[in-house]
Amino acid sequence: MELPLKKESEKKTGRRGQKQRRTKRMYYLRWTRHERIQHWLLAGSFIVLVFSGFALEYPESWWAWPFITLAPAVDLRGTLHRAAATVNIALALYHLLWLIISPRGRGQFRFMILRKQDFRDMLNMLRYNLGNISQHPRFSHFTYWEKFEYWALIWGTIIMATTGLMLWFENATLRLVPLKVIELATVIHLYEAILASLSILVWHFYFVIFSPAVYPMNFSMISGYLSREEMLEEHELELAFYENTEPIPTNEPR
Amino acid sequence: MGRMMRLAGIAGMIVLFSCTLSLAQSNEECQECHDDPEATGENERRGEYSVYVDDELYSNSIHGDLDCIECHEELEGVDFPHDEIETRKVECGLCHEDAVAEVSHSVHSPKFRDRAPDIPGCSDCHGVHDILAVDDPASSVSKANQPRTCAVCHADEEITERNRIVLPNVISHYSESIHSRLIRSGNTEAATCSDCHHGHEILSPLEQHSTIFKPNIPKTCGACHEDALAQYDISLHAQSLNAGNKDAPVCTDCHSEHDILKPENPAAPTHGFNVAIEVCSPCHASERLAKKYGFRWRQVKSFSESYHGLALRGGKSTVANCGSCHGVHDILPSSDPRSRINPANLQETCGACHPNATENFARGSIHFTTELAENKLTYFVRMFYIFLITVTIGFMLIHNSLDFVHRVRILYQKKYPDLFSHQRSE
Repeated sequence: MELPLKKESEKKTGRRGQKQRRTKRMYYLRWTRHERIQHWLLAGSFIVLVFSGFALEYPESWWAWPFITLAPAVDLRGTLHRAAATVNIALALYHLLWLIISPRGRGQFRFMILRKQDFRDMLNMLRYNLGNISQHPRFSHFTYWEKFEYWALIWGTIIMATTGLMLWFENATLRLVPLKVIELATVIHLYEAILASLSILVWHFYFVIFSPAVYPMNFSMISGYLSREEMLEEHELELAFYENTEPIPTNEPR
Repeated sequence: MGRMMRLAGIAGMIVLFSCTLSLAQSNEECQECHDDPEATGENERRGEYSVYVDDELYSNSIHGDLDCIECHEELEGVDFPHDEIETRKVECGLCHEDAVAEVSHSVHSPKFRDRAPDIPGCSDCHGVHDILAVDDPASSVSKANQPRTCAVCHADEEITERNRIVLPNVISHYSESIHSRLIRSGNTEAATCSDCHHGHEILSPLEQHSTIFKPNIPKTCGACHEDALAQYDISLHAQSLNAGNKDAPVCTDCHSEHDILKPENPAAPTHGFNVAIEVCSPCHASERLAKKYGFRWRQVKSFSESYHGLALRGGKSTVANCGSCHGVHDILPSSDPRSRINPANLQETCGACHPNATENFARGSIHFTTELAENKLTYFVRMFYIFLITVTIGFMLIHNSLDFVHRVRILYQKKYPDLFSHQRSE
């Protein structure tokens, strides 16, 4: 299904009976339905993995009760963890395939490539928030925080999937490598999990939930669209491209 | 008329006996008076007390064939009513010399009576006129009834306190045990009080000949549990005990004393879920004992933090506990070639759960820690991650806090522009 990159919505405002005014609002495509499904599959599997994983590390904690009381005998915790891991890894592979073969995926990937400008943007954002400069950095399709997070996610998924699979299939692993490697995988799997969970909580949840700019949440991952005001806030350069005031923005190296 | 006849008969009999046996009187004669349920006697020691003897109980007892005067010797040949005779306590030792001798140096010895006023005599356990053979199920000291008989004192709060009985809950503990359950279900092989404590020669655990003197406990339990004893005898625990180490564990240190449960019972300390914490850690997580004997005391901790330990704590029953790898009764140090955890045997030991385990299972440590001295690689990886997490998450917090403060300031200014206009004008 082809989605328009932007769409116009017309809405009648004003009370009935009175003279009605037509207002036009512009919406810009942020995430296709296909991308949103990918995101929510990732979010769901991530949450289940975090919950069922830390319930293993902290079995006496109060929030581990569903696994401790409901079904210790059938290993509900381990089964859920491995099921969510399967979804997560399958999604990662599918995502890779999508990036390679789909034009939209290739396009999104090109926007995602890190450039020097991203680090400059971050520095400027810090300086702006500190009051050193008055000009808010202008972002294109992906802001630097989205890019950093994406690449952290890719890196984290590679590490968690690799160490996780080694521990899942420990007998096969031990046929190839000594027990020491399993020890290492155990340590890495735990600490990478702590890093990933804290990153999502502190970084991702700030920009999509807790930031005063979007609170209570950035709805584009539900609707797929951003309003013109939201575009102006975070994707000014992209908006300028849509409104034909500037040439193709940002993702080309400057 | 009948009464006259009976009196005459009795008189005749008395004359007859006096002539022939000179003194002996028959049980029937005693029962002339003692058959009355309301008959009482009185003396200084006991005050007024019943002197009733149930003829049926007595004749059914193990002593039913004996004459009254064989025990109540002092009444031999005495005319009745024997008001003037000071009746004595029956001396069982006249026949049962061995039993009385055994009791006399046991914890129930009468010599302790000044310290423990309620020390029992023979009759307190065995009964009086109703004594039955020990193998009679109805006997007060039969296997099934012993706990109830001992409970009269050992489960009585007042008596245990007054006599300074160290363990006041032994009976209730025992009644929960597998031994008690088996006995109650009709198994006469299972252990009751006297099987471990002896019947008459009950000794304090501090006495060398006691069945419950620590070094003797394996033999006491081994009387029934031969296989377990044979395994225990080769273990490091037994070697250490035999070398004179009083800290070395015997059966009761792991299985507990009176409330012994089957290892399959989730409430048992020896159950897979509990063994690490309840059985092994009192010694093997003790820094004091580890220093004394030079073993590694963080093994319980490293187990609890390993996948095996974590999953076990989370309720997974199929993962390894201490005993799965180290064995149960025949625990040996890894240096011993017979040990399950000797590097040469690890493939087989791990292979019990991990099919086709290779020699790679021995290349590393099951009790691995991230301490520098023990494992440099995991130590540095962990340190790297802690550094990475601190720096990354710390930066994120700073970055986002700055953004948050800035945005809140703008919103505030928008909402209350007047408050800011006069500030700016200054």
